[in-house]
Amino acid sequence: MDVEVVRYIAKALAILSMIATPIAEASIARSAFEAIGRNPKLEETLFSKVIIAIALVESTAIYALVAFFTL
Amino acid sequence: MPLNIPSEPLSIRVEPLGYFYGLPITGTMVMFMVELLLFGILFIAVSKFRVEKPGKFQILVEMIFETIQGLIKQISGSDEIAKRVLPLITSLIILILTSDIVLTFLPFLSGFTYEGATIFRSHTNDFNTTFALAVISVVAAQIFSVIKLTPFNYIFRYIKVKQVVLSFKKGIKEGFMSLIDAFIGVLDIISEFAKMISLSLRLFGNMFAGELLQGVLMSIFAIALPLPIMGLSLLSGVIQAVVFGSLVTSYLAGALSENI
Repeated sequence: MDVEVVRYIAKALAILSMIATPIAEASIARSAFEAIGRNPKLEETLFSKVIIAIALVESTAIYALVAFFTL
Repeated sequence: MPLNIPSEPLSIRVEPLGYFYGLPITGTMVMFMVELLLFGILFIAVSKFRVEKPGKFQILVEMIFETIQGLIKQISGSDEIAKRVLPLITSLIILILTSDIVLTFLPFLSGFTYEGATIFRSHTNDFNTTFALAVISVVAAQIFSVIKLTPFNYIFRYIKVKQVVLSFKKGIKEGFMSLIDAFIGVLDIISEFAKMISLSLRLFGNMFAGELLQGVLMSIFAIALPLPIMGLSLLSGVIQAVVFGSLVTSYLAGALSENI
């Protein structure tokens, strides 16, 4: 196989690791909404924590993106 | 009438502007120097603040500072630790925030080029800077740990000879259980390096992705489309600054509240 072909396959595989990120983010958001639904007073304190958690989870996709551009 | 601005794809490698005794001068360094100058002016301005008659600017600066202070206290959980880590974390957060604000509100800066290399490049958009910030934070955590535990105990934190010997004196079962702990201690050495790489890649990747997205949208439809994305990239930049700061706070607080 040509080197360019192998590089494109590697890029595709790197991007494939993004699959789990939206699932994890949706899971965080769902739990947060459930918690707010049970106890609406939580909303103010929960918001910033949820944003930070989502940013942490998102980092896996970001690593994949960096790998995509360095390959 | 063309509605798009063709833009070159951004590269991860930063082209040097020139060489100063063999040291490559990049656009990031120029940007950093400009920012350091601005920070110097800001520090002089802050030193002239008065309690009796606060101006609008003073109220803004105090608001930002108190927000960061509250965040650090919330994460570290104790006022004593918060007081010790406050200077480092505040400077890190402000440095990252400035870079992000520059990146979002002055996107035309990357248009100034000198022999094909950009003169001003936002510094979190360069992997070298974010890696340096991550190395500083992790090394600071190690130094705090050495001061807290004394150098001799600090070595036993990773290579748990002392703990293994003590638990074999108690009994065979405890001894073998502590061997597992010793193995985890060796893994901790690797995790310190992993911390550096994950911290720096997370910040760099987010900023890089933001600018890349702006470039792509500019080349599709340049009139109003990039505007909401700029807001989104500002939001993600602020969040990344807060995440970086809170992660470093938790590392430092972990190092400071540790007992062997």
